[in-house]
Amino acid sequence: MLTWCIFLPLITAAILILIPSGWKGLIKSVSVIGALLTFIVSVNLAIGYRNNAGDIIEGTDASTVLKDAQETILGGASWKNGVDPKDADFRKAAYPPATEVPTDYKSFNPEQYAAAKEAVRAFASSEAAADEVEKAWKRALELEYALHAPATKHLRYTELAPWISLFNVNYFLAVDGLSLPLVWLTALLSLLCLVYSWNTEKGTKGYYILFLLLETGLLGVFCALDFFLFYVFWEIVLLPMYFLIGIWGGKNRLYAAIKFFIYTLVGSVVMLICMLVLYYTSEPNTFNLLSLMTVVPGGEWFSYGLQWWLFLGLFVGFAIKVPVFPFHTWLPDAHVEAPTAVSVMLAGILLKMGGYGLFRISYTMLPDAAASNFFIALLAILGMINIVYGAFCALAQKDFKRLVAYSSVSHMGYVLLGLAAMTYYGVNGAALQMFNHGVSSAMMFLLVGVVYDRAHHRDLTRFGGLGLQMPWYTGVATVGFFASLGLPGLNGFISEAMCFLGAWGGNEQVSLVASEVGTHGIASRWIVVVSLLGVILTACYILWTIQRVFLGQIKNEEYKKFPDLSFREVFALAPLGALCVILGVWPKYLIDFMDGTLTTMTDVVRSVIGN
Amino acid sequence: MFSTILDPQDLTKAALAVLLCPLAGFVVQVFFGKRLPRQGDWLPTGCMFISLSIATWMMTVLLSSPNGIEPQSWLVAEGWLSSGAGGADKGLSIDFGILVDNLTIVMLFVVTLVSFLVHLYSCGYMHGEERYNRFFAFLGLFSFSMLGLCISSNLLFLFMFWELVGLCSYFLIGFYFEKKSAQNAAIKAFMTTRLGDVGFLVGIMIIAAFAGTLDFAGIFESLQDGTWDGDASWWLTAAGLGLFLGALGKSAQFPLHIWLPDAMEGPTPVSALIHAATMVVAGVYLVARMFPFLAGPGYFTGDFFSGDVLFYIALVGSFTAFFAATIAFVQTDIKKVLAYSTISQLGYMFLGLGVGSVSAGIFHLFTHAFFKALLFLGSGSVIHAVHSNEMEDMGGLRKKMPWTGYTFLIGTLAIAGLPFLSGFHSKEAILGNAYAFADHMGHGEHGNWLHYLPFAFGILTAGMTAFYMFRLYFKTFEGKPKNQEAYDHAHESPWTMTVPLCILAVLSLGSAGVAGKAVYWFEHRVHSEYLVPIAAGADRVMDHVSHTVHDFHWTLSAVSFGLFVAALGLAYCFFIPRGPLYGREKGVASALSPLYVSLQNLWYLDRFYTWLVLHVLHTCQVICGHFDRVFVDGFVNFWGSVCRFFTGAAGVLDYWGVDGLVRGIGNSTLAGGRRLRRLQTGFLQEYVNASLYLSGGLLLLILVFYVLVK
Repeated sequence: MLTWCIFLPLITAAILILIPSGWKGLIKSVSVIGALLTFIVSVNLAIGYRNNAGDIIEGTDASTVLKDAQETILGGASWKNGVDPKDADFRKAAYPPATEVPTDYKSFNPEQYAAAKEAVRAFASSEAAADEVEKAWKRALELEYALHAPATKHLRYTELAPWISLFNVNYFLAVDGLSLPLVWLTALLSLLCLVYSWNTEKGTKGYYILFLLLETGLLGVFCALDFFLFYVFWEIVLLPMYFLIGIWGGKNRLYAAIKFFIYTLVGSVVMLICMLVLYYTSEPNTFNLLSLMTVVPGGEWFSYGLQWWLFLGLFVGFAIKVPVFPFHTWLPDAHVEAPTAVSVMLAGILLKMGGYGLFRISYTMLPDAAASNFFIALLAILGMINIVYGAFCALAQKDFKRLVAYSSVSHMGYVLLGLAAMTYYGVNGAALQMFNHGVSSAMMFLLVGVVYDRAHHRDLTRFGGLGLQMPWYTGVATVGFFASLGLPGLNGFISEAMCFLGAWGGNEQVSLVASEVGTHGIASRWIVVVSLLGVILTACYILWTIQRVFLGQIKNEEYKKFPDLSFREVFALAPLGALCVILGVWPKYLIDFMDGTLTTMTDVVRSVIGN
Repeated sequence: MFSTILDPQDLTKAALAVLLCPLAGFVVQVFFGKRLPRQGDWLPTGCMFISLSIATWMMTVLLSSPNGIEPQSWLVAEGWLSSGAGGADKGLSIDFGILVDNLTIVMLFVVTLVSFLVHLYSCGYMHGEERYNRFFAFLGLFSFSMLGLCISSNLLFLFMFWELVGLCSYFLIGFYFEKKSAQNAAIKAFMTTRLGDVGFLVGIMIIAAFAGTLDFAGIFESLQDGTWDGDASWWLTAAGLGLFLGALGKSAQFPLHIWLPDAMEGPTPVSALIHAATMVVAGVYLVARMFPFLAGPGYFTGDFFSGDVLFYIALVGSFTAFFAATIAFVQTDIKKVLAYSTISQLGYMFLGLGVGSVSAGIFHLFTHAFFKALLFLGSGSVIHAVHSNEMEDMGGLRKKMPWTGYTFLIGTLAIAGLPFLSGFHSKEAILGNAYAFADHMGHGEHGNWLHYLPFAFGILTAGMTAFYMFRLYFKTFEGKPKNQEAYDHAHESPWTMTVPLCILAVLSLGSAGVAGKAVYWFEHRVHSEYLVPIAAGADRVMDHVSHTVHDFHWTLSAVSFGLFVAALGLAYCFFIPRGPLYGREKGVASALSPLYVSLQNLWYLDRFYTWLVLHVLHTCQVICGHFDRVFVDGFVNFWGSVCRFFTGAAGVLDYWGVDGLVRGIGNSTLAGGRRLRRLQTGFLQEYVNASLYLSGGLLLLILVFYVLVK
């Protein structure tokens, strides 16, 4: 099902290629249908996941799929008579013991690994087959690691197939509570954006094809569990985005597009290096994210020092995407130049790729580094800077869209803060904040787009009085703006409050940000208190913007001709507004998805520091 | 009537019904209000009436039980926000629950009653305004939020509703959003209260960290099991001060009071409901609700004064009462006088709570809600008639608007403290406790003059209140009309406006008969210890204090009556044409020029804040904006240009160097080829010549080589 979900947009794009570019109506309809189908599939995924939360769905559960794959691989090798890869004796010899929750990879030492290798070679039918048997065993062993990864038990809809056998690259997809909400959000926003873009006249065909390609890339990133595959999807996202900004963007689009492209490419390169280091250091060499998370032999490998450097490298890669201060300046430029729908995808989903990477890869694969003094302090302080500095920068803007872009910088700071705390509340809050920001910032960009389409400028000093002219627009905008402000009853408040409560921590489960032990007091509760200033500053710029755009007398005679929201705009805005309210009133809907996955992850990282 | 439907033993369901009625009204009104007949004003009003009926019924249940009801709670949504299911540690769980006890019922009654009357009043007052339907929607949303605030059993939910009432306040202050002043006032109100909310949030976080829960019951439990002993007592004080900071913002106490006078930009019914009777008392409610926590572990030995927080509350409250009263002296806008009066009276409530008497504080909240709503609605009626807020345009209006005039007089007498009116009793209760506090603490081990301050400020304010209120009344309703044109057009307001006035007047006045009883009623039901019972046999310090209150009772009454008479006399002298000093107030003002100017400038506090916001905040934003553009982005662009330079250089190098070499080779080969082609002329003679030259050269080379090797 995941494959369908990911590639439906691509298939749609392929169909679009066949349609003559003059038939614009057909092109739009087909792509909207494609996005709708994708959305339906994603809803289906979510319902299935929710109904079976905690249970095993036969055939799509990660552990079953991994076990089946193991059997297939081992079954294909030529064994000595009497040796059955399925029996307990074989397992005992071939798979060195792993602890119940095998977070301590050092428990598996090189001697055990070497002994197991010899044992398995001896099981081969002949001397000549030994190498081939060893190869199969390595594949199986790697899957055995994956089976023991704590994250595995939450993965559903797993699909595993060999892709590039030479480098042991697999086509490995699955979703859990962390990725599923993002998959769903991607499908939803894509659908809404494609409908919203209905009036795109310039190069309609190319626009829709690229947009669908973008969707495929984004969905792939959230579903991939093979680092190589992840990287491929990560790069796929980059290209359509570049063209969408560069061709359909505003006046300064080339500068923005190139800046975006090069900036994120730098991040990708660092990530690529880290990926290769991980691959070549692991034994057997693997790109499997689950295997990399768990028991890896060799004692010294994945030593703290290596982890530290890897964490730093991956952090740079992800930080550019989030974006974290001081890597954030591509964002305002890209947003300002991008067309509305592309901005929505950029803020709503693309920024989440960075956060998702931190969750999925950095924290789960490198827990020692994640729980080190340096990185706790770094993430918490950068989170704080993002929150406060981003808000100040937003206050300084005169361009409506730039302001919203900086508000994104500010809001993504909460993700870092909650993540650094490593408490249940903090981590859940951070994941929730990613989703909520996806909803509310998408809404804000759509709102900017609505007014830009009418006024053809975004200068905040020239607006005023739209509340009198466009009451429905104002009403919807109020929901979006106040959700972003963090008003209780709307979604933003829940995640911000969770991040704060989590970062402050409890007496039983101490927040790593607050613990003297964790950070030697560099990072401490003062970070949380300073971050709280963000609450005031956010209110400042939101209220100020509302005042400048909606309140007062109608500033320009021209504005008296503005129509209120059209059906197309209502279609895009209403679901997001509804989501803001629903998740604000009943956040359990979403937290129920995420809690299990994130609790496991938190426990793993905390177990490293013995708490 | 309701006893057949609702269970008197379980009032939580009734409380939920009270809560949901206005919400239902809001939802329908916001989407369909405009299409309903009369723009749907009857719908939220009707919903409010249902709420009021249920709340009144709850009140009768409370009245009929001799010692009040036992606290009842109902967990509506357990684990509304929770995480860490199945994890190694226990995560925080936040539940939505309803807590109904004596305090809740009193609050529900006050809120629904005033809210209903204001709804009714607005039908007349707001008639024909733009966005009439939306006004009622906001009123409904506000009522819902305020009721939610009163029934939550969880601190975080209290905070959420707390923010929502702030939102409604923002919308309603800025209701006339075409006006710049209204926009600014709305933003100012929201931002100032939000500043306090940061403190509230810190308090919540500390409590969540130590108590591991945010339910009131759980928080109070944690006080008993020693969680807050030792080093944690510092955190206890910090959390208490944080919560109080929130209350400061919401209840407009010094130094965060600046938003309330500006909030008068909103329509007058809004001022009456939100900025006098209900929302601004949320801070008082919070302190009352969290009283055992703010008193600290000493609470359980009956010694509320062992912690510091309550004392700070008393100090800030009493100072605010005094401070705001001074500014009320010089205001000329009828609503501004009432706004400062509200700040002052809220200070009284905090004073009452701070000196350890929840009953006195909440009793004053109760009486104040009625007489202040009455005064605001009365002022609204006047403004409706003369179309001006300025007292300079009024005068002698009692003759034109008898209903408004006489009800306003009742309100004035109540707030000024005419003996046996509601305000008198509640003020006496507070001052008595303040005196007892001073007496007890001042003579204590660490006693000093600071402990006498709350009482001193309190008694001073009592006299001042009477003076400025009579000034207001005399200037508006008595004497000669100052603006004849406005006077001629003035007329009594429609029944929808006068009926609420009369009801509120009856409540302010009518409680005179039962006021004496009501004091004891409150003392028995909303006393300081009902939230968490104190174990019997403990050394109850507070018992000594309450003896002092009773002993001092008559002396205090005499003193405050004396002050009342003096203030009335003074106001009469100045503001009634027959008075000896009539028209001389300007002279007095100029004689006290520096003081007068400071008062007119609101003690320069607003200016200071404006300076702070404009300069500090603005500077920060400008610096950040520039830093981001010039340095952070500049750094990126710098590297961009460096790379561009190098690519350019590489391009040049490539073109002239690498490619130049290739081209050079290519060109020279071509050129050589061209030359060589000329060699192949086909003439034998030339070939022979060439071979001669070549072999000669070769010979020469070999020769040279040979010589060199040798």
